[in-house]
Amino acid sequence: MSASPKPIPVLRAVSPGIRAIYVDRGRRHHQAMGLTESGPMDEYAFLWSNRLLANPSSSAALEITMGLARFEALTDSVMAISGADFAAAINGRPLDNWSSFNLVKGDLLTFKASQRRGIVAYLAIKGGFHCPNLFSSCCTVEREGLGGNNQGQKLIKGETLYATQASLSGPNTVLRTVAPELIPNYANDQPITLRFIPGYQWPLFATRQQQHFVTTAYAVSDQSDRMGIRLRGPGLSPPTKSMISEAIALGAIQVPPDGQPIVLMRDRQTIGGYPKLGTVLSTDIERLAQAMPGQTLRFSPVPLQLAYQERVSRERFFRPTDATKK
Amino acid sequence: MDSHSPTYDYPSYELVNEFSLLIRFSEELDDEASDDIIRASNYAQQLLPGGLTDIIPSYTSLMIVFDPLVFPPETVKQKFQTAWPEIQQQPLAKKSDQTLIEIPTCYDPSVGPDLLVVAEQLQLSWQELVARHSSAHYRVYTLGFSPGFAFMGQLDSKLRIPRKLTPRTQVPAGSVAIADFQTAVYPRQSPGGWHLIGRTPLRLFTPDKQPPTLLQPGDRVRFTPIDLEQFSSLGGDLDGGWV
Repeated sequence: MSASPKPIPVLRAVSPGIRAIYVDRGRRHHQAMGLTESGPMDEYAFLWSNRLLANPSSSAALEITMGLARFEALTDSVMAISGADFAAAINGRPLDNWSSFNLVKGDLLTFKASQRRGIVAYLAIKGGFHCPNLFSSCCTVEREGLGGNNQGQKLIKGETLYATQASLSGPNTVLRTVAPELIPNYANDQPITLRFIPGYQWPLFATRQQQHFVTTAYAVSDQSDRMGIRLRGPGLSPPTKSMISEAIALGAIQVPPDGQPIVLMRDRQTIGGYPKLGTVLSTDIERLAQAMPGQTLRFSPVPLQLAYQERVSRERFFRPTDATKK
Repeated sequence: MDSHSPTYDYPSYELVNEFSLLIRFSEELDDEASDDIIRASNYAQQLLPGGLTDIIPSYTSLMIVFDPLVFPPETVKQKFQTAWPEIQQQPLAKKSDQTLIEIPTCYDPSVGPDLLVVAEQLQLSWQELVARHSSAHYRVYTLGFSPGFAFMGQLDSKLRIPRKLTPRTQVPAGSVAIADFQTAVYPRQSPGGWHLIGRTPLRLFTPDKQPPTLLQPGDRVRFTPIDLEQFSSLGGDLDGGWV
């Protein structure tokens, strides 16, 4: 057995911003104990941050919410950014988003406040950040006090970030950037459409309620977090029949008694008892994750087969990097 | 039943999204369905080798989360449908029939802030409430809500009370609580809407222990009354505040 590589300090969080947490693709196989799945709010952007560096697709990256973070480079490294635009810069020199870049010891990597183009950004490093796995994932869940490097707490001021030794090997890494047509538009100038698969409880909602749901424009509430995105709009009347609690899938649209739908996200609780209309496609969840409060959206029912096809092309596109590193 | 209510044959199989299959075993809570959930959970690994992502059992249903690159959704559904006769024949671990886990519980208003109010609402003396809560054997139906939080039932019919209209923002770790037909222990300080009638010094979730949770689905549980002194000597925290 070879000794595990000694982690090397790569960044110091001069300012951790509003919230920066370690994420990978999620904490799997442990929801039966009540542990949330977690994982990146915007999986598409997260996967790109690793792919830009030819990392395995589930390598630990930093999820930065609403910007305002500053890091000092403690060594030379290759990194990538993706997701929300926080006008990232090195020593004041603007960086291209959705791109990999070189960082030199002593550099100051900065993220500004929200540019009103997205909520979460990803910072990845060649080889992945070093972060201990707990229940097979590094994901930080503040509510559970689990994951990350601080027992579930977000990044703190002055904290050192580590990389595996592999991070610094291969200095001749080719810098890459995502093709413009593959970069999502996170600006909230247009309503977004969330496609969903109606669930078995859909028929429990009266026909008028169903029509109401697919014709009404909803707005994203500021009372949203990693557990769920709350929506505001004309209220629905959920069925009065009491529901026995059951497992909640990523993207489940639940309707609590106040009639305002909530779309359940990465840190959702494992089981719940509110009536559900259906499930938003996993490939539409990430756009919702980047929606600013006030963003308007509509729901459109689609068949499961479409969701499956999109998911499969997504996995085929991003997972080959696990096997064939260039 | 209103005209919108669909009827089902159980088990029913529903693909809730492109990587999650919800299998429902019963309309109502019953121990037989709960046993079938444990059987199907145990069987899932051999049914989806290399493609099982997660298993989430609950009261009357089980969610199977899978890798759609390995097994397409319809295949997963068919596999479970076909295997159902076999799943039903699976033996259950003896543990669930035999072990009785004792949870020492201090029923005192200083650590169970709702004890007196709930007793009054249920028109019982608090002593009778405690006697009824601590004399029953409960089954662990499922874990969820937070790590190690075990939903147990069923509560004595005289102890059933809907959850609080406004949840507390802070419930101390170890709080023993009741709501509707259920009882549970809060593993760590968290918000919560159940009624707090006592507190245990036991830890319900210890990440570095194997298994990390004190309770597993299928376990039988009894709450054993202890006094404040015993609570304290067993390491119970008298200070954990509530809001």
